[in-house]
Amino acid sequence: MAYTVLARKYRSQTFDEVVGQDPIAKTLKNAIKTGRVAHAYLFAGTRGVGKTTMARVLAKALNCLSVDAPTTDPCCKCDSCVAISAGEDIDVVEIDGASNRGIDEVRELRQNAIYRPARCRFKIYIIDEVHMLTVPAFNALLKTLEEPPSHVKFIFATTEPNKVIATIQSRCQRFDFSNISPASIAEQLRFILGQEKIEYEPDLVVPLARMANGSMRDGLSLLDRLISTGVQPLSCDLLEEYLGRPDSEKIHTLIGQIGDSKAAETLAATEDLIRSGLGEVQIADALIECMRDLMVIKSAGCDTDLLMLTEQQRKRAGELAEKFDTAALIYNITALEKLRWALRNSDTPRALLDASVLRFALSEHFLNIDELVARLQAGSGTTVKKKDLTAANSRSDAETQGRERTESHSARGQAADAESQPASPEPPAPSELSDIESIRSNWQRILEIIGARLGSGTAALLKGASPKRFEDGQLTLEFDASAQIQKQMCESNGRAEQIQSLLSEHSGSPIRIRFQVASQEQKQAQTPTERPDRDGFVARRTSTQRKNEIVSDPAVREVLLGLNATVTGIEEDPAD
Amino acid sequence: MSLKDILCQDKPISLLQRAYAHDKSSHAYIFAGLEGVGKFKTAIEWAKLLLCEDPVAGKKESLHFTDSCGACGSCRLFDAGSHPDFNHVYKELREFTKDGKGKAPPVELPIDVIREFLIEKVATRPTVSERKVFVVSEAEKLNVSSQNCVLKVLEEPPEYCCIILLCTRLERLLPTTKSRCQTIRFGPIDLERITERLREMGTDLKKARYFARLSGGSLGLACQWAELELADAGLYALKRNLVGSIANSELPDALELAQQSLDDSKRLAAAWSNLDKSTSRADLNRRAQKTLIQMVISVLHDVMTLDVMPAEILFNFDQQEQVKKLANRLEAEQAAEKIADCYEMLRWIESGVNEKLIFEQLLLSLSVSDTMTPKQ
Repeated sequence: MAYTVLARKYRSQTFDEVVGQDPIAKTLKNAIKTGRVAHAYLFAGTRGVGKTTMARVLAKALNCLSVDAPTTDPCCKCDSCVAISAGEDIDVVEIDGASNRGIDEVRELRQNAIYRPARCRFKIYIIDEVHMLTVPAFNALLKTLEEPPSHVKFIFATTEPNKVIATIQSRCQRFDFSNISPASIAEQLRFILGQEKIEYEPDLVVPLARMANGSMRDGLSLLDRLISTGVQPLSCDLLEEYLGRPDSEKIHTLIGQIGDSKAAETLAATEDLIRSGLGEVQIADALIECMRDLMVIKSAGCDTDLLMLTEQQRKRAGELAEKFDTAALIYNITALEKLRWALRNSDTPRALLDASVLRFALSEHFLNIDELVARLQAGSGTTVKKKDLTAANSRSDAETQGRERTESHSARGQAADAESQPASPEPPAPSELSDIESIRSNWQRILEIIGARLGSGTAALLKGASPKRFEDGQLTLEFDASAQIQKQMCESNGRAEQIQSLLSEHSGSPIRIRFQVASQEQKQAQTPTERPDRDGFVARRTSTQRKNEIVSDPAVREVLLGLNATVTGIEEDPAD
Repeated sequence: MSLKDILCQDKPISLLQRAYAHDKSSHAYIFAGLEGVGKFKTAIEWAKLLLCEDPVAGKKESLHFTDSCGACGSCRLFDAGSHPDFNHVYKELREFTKDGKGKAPPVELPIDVIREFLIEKVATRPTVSERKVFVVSEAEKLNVSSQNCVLKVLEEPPEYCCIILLCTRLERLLPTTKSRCQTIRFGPIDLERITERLREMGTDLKKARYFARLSGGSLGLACQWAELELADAGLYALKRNLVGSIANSELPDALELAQQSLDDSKRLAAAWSNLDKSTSRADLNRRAQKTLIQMVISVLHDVMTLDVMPAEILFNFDQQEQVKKLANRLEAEQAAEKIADCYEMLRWIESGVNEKLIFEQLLLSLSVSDTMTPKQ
């Protein structure tokens, strides 16, 4: 009742029939002849190149009942051969690896493997799409696969051998199925068309074979679609009408417009292509293919064998190639390849295609290097000098910019410190760090050094502290009672260690730092001179509202956030 | 409703009809095309025809055109939505799988659904008709394991089976899946026809035309927008606003505009969820954001083509002034670059990047280029 598609109807039945895989067929035949058939095979290759077919042929060859031993020419008539072709033989178990991929299925397989075959010589497990087996499933198979019972053979087929774990691969004989050449596909297509008694134009077969892209099944699916249109004889126009093959004339027009840098016409040509029912990706593909042809013509001349074009197309392509140079073509192909990916990932890619095509048309054409050299030589020294000059200018520009950036950066630091400081203050003499009095009097400078070396954030934290004691190399810094958080921040993130090592470096002797928080009474006892920023604190306490206002200012918030800083005090410039 | 009532998809339907007439219909099809161009409808009607006990052969424009009779037991069962030999597979079915109870609706089409609702059911013979038809919706959401899972079934299903995958993005399917099926492309629907349809729904001519153009030929999408507009979601007003503010935007406003767009998209999604209860909220959010970005793209596309195309066919034909204003600041080539950026954003939306960041990035990039590189 139902129609069987060509790919199934014409599945090859013997080694010799499998198209385009002669080396593998030969190897397997020799293995059978010499009795050196391995117990496990891995067939890898892209879609539709004959992996499953070869697996079935091999199974038939091993199990054919018409002869007593494995044969290179299975009879295809005996019960076993017929059943294997249909994929339902009792001894040849064809498993869909993708839907039976768990460890439970493999355990079941192992249990059944120990039983001898029912009627044939071997029990053969064909696991198709084996790359989808889970890792535990693969591992469960390892022992059986290494040393199976003598009556068991495994054949794995996969499109993605990289997903098959290495320990499996090393236990199998691996055969990589190559893509089938357009010529072989064309030959097979002709054969099938003859068998089906369908009339066709001779020119149809080669482009169809090229569209199949190395896969026999793709070719046959395409042919199926053509046949199902019911048109006889099959003609080349059908390819464009039903298989969505871009009209080469339209593609050439589009490329011509790009070459002439005509924006409006380019868009019109794109519109024309889309109207004819093409997908955006297909257009990109067609453009790539055509640009490739042009590139080949550019570099190898018009008569090269690398092109599969008719005379007329060749002529047209030659004309088009005049409009581009190689660099532009290479650029366009790269850009299109990138575009293709973006097109695939979009629901409504039309605008993107328009945009890219327009960019090609508008982009300045590349200058030929020869031309450039010639121009340089002709223009003699002056142009070169000028170029040097601009280069130097741009460098100095960059320097100024860089300086500006550092300046603006330090400006941000100053905002946090609320006080200006030189970029790199002189380090204090070791004597300045010898006793508590000198430390106190130099505290401002020490802070500057810390700010310069460890970042203004740290310095800002320490501003809330004052040196209290200096005994036996231990410096005690006291924080205001309200500055509990600053103290904790100083102790965290290794800041204390950084400050310690910095101070030790400057004083020449190791200095340890202790932080402490002042108790209320001590603070009251403190004199204003000991607390240089005391005014600020008072001001802050009296107007918390003002503080909130400032803190919520976006610029201040940015600074605080960027520097991991906290507001310790607020001083207002009286001039303001 | 039958095959001949489907609008604007004559080519794919004639392909199917020819195959049917020559008794060469394939066992596995991929219907590929934009969202909302009639793939599902065609699949349903095709299934009805395949299952019909007494198909009516006829002619349409000198071609064989067979259609379901609409009167036999099978057709009546089908119309009632209870045909035992018709199976619709979609991702929300996961709730009804063996261990899918109570799970949230999946983003991808999970392997459980494929196993239980496709592979297992393929094995049993049809009960009423001579065939069994499976329609898999949103096949582009089949993940890799699901796709591998159907490979064997797709290649050699039992003779009574016909499997149809509906797919908006052919590229998402593995090459090995595609090579097992016959692909039928569904082109975009004629814009005039969409406009007409929207007018029938009660949309103003201006709005109808805009939605039709924005949809790029997807009737379903245009209808959704029109429904939204009819439900007073203010989609069109939003578009006018957006175009206006992009045309006038300057760098300082960009962030504010981004926030506003984000709020708009949320409002849109909320309105949408009132209309479309079956889709998950996250999907609707994404759809609303995409709509906004598509509007931005449409403006940029207008800017790009302003000089080379007649003004009547612009997307934003009703706001030509604004488009011209923007075109004064953006060269065609810059607009082209921006469009590429916008597509990047669309991709981000799908990968779940924080929507606020997306809008900020988008609008900042638009306004920055305006101020930094004025047209000479």
